[in-house]
Amino acid sequence: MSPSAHVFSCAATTLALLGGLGPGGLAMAAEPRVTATVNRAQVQLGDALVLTVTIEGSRSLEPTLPPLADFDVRRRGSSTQMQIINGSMSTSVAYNYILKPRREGTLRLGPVTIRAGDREIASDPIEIRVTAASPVARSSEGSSRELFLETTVSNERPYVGEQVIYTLRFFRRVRLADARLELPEFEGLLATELGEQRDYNVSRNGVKYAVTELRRALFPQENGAHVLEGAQIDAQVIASTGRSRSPFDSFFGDGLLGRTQAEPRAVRSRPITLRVKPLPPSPPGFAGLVGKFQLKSQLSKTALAVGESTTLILEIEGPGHPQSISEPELGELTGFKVYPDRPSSTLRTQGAALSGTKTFRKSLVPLTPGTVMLPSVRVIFFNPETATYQTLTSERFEVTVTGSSEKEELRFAEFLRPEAGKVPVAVLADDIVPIHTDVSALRAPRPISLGWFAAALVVPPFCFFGFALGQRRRTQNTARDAERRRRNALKEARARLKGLQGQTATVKHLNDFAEQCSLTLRRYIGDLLNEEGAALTTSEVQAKLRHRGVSATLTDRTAGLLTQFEAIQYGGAEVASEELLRTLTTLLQDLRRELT
Amino acid sequence: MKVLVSFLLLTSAGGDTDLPKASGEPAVDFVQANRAYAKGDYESAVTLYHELVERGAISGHVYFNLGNSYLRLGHLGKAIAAYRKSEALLPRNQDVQANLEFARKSTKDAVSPTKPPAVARTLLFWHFSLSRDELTLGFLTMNALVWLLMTLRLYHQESEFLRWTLGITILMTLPLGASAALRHASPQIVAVVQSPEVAVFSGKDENSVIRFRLHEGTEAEVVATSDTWVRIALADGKQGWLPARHLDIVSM
Repeated sequence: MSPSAHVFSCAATTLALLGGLGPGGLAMAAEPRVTATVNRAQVQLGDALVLTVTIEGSRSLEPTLPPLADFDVRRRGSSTQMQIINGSMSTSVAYNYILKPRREGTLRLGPVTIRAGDREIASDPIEIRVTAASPVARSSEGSSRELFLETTVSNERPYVGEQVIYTLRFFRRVRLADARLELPEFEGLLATELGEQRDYNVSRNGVKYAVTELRRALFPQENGAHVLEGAQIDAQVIASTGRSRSPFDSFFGDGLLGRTQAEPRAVRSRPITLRVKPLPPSPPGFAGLVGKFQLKSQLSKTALAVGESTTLILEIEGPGHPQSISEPELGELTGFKVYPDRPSSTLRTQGAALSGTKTFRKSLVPLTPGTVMLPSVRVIFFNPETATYQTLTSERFEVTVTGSSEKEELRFAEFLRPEAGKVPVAVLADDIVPIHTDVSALRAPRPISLGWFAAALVVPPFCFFGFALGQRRRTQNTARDAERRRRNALKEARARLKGLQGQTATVKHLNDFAEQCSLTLRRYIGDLLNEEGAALTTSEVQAKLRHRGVSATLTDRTAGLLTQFEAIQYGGAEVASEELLRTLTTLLQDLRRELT
Repeated sequence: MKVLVSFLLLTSAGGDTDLPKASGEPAVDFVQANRAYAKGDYESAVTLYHELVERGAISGHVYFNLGNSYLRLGHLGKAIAAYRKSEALLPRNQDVQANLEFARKSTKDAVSPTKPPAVARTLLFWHFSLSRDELTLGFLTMNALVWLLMTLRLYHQESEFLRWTLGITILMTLPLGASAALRHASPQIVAVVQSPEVAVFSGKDENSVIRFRLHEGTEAEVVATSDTWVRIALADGKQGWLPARHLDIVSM
């Protein structure tokens, strides 16, 4: 094929492809349409429905929703579908919204509009019928309910403080996902979880349901009417659509195009009104216990010596949380020292109600011998069954105390169950460490200011450098002085020796001559070594010359000459003074050569 | 008689009032606050401890007592914040650690406060067991000792003892200085949630996505601040923004 023919055929192919898309292109350019549909036209208040707005013929247009004041609206995403049939392509985009009606009645979903150029295209309006919410839902199709919520209380007319069991049961016979429970507020009541959540199956009216049950123990704190609002569960009901799989499912993955569909549902239980009755006027000593209580008492030892201890255990058991049980008064007890211990408590579910036990322990240490009847303890509670106050009285114990023979230090040593041997240490209760009361605790270290910090950081090195500089100057001065002495040593020695010439006329003069020669030599060595030469002895001169590395010959000559001078001074030796001066002068020069 | 009655009326009217009155003397106010606490009047104790702090008596023990008072009142977030402030000033105090752990047991969120690795805490023990001021003071003291030893060496250059002592002192000074510098330049800032429940957002906008929710007493590290918003990071790495009004910020 010639090049020009090749180019022509490529161009023709391209045109053909474009032409083949022509009908599709025309289809794309066709007028856009918008439709609005809902999955349910009738819902209960609290339920939700799905609004789907489908725009055909355009992928760029966005729908405008009408005012939806009667609904809570949440967008749920969109999906796009493209079809090519006989070369003709069509596109549609579906926008999904979750609508939750806010009131009952017939609500109108106004037309959804799109704007194509300067034209506005609208869908048809939709009517939604919203009925009242009820846990016993009427089924318009005549079929059984799919899910519903039941709440009950054990007593709708309790007394203040009387335990009321609130039971919530969630019935369902469909698959659910993402279920969320909202319990009522329980205002004016103390609420405690009662037992674990239970799941079981039950048959009602011939229909099997899966049930989830929760319970709460409620304790009204004030009398009057208390409305427990309905509990609500929001969940997604998983339903099968039965549609065949679209080839575009894997692209868009939207549930509307797949085999299952999640539909949001909400169910609500009816509110319950508790009419709480006030307690009748209470007798003195009533501490707020409402319910049927029991009191047990026990004394670990009834015979003991002075200084020993015995433990009185009082156990109060009854409905409700044990923290509401306050410590009963022991009463006047003379002849004993009483040490209260930390109470312990347990909480359990007894039958269908919450029950607690609180145990109080007191260590009693007798101070005097004798027989004592311990006072009993009274616990007053209000029994709702009989609507009367009842009093529990503990057993009275007789304690026999014998005297001890010697005065011993009062010790507290008592095991709770001595017969059982050693028991593991169990933490009965926990509390925070008490406050710090020492006033010295107030003496907080002041934070270091920037000025003080800078000073503390900078002053020490400044001092160091000051000392170092001073030390250097001293060393330099010392070196300078030593250098000056060395330089002038020979000159000064010669001058001294010159003055000694011709001074040997008499013995006295000879002694002086020898002394001056010795002094001149030692001073000269001292100047060269930067030391006090006049005080050096012959052996010190030898040692210092050797230390400075002077040759052994020169050292010996120096020592020999000094010895000769001493011999002249103290021994009256014969001397040729001029000869001696020449020898000394030569020695001075030799020493200068080796020491500088 | 009339005057006496009036006087009696005045004294009975001006006697014990509900509001605590600070005397201005830190020691007296401290004792008064402790007495209020002992009597169970925790509200008054809180007021008095706060006044002590505002007047400059900033002590780890005052914050500790403040934490106890808040805990008795059930204000978990404020209690934990006070304990953390006490911990910053008294890092080795066992009472502070015990009460802080006690308070943390009552928090709702299963989030532990950020802790450095145990190896780091062992090897760099001074960095974690000394407060910022203690580190600074320690560094300045060792610094002065180093220069003093160097000065002595000017006159005793042959002393082996001085040489070794100087070397050891320098080795102790450098890490103290590094730790002090790090604590001053980049202190750990902790935020304690004060509200019963607070949403943490992905951005500095309450219309942005809620990433997670936190409850009173939860501690988190402050990563950044911007206007009235704070970005926090939990120990498990989750981060988010929340308004600063829900937090008490503590500089460790």
